[in-house]
Amino acid sequence: MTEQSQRTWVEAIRCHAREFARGLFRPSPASIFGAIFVAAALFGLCMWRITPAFVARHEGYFMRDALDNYVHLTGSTLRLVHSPPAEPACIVLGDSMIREAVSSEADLERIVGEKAGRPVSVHLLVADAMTQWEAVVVTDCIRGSVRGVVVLEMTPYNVALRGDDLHKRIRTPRLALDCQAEAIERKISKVERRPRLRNYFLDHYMFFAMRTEALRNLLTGPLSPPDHEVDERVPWTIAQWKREQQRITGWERHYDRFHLFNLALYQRMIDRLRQSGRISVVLLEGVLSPRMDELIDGDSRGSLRRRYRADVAGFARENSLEYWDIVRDMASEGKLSARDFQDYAHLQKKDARQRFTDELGTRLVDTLRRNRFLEAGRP
Amino acid sequence: MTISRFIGILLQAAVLGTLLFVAIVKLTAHDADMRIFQYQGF
Repeated sequence: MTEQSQRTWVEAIRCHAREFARGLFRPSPASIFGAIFVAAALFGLCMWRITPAFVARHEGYFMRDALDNYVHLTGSTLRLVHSPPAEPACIVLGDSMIREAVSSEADLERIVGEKAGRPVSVHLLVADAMTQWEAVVVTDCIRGSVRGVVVLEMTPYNVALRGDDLHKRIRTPRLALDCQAEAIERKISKVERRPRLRNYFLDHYMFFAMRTEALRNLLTGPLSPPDHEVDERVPWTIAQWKREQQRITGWERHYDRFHLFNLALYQRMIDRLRQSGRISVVLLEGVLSPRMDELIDGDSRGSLRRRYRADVAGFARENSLEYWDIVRDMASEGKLSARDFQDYAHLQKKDARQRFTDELGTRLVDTLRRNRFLEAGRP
Repeated sequence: MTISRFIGILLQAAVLGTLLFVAIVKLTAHDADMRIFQYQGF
């Protein structure tokens, strides 16, 4: 290459670089229209690609962090709907108490499978502070896809939930799920129906829009939630117990006013679950530390808690449901104590979790067997 | 318009368009963010 042609070549590269920089950094009508087009195209792509089946497959990409329970719950529910298990299933619905009490979903599935002598599909559908409203939506989505046992967690806090708080949950859903029961429950609760746009992304726009941090998962990969979240926390001190017990028992203060309203909602949910004749429902008492009962035993809060237990037991009897209070049963046998808990409701000790999981697994298999879900050929 | 300038404009549109998309989503979701994660005393 001659010196002159080399100079011409370098000059041409400089010219192209100048032009490229001019295009890149100088605003122009073309780039502004282009930007609007790109933004519109991204919205269009979301509307086209973000479907229930897509979220069921790729839920980890939508999580803002590993503790984003409600995305995981949405994904797990949608997976059950889109890929129903062929084998009998055990579905356990609950809040963080259940998540922390069970060693892991896989471990519970292994225990149930071993005791049943055949594969059983086990699913923990749990999320922080899950209320009966989320349970209504989840159970209505899965009721046509599974046969087996559905375990519903009952807690004094949920049964005492104020009507206004429940309405807030209905108005600002934490799950991206659609179900028929929602319309019925909205009508009963007199919460007006959201206008439907018949597009999954647009109908659940807030669910996705509040998770813009999840865009970084496109670079770093999908997230998956840990089995437990309280492992690293320090157990409550006596001072913390004193400080917190007032706040926690305060969640039950509307019990007398709202428990019938909430139990009626549970009743409708259970009736819908039982409609197909392929699901047995069990009530599971929340995993509450025995220490709380000791602290409130002598006062009005203690009598309210006893009334709650009697009401739930009566509700279970009226509806021919099993009502498991595993913590109380295990505590009375010396298999579980307040020392196994991190706070008022979260089991922390590994061996205690294992004992709880074994007990839950045993009861699940008994119920599956009693309702003949383990027999071959049962529809 | 040269091809280099056209590529520059495309790149600018892609970056600005993505930022515009994220900004719109963030702005419209600001209130919901506060509400949905709030614990309502269970």
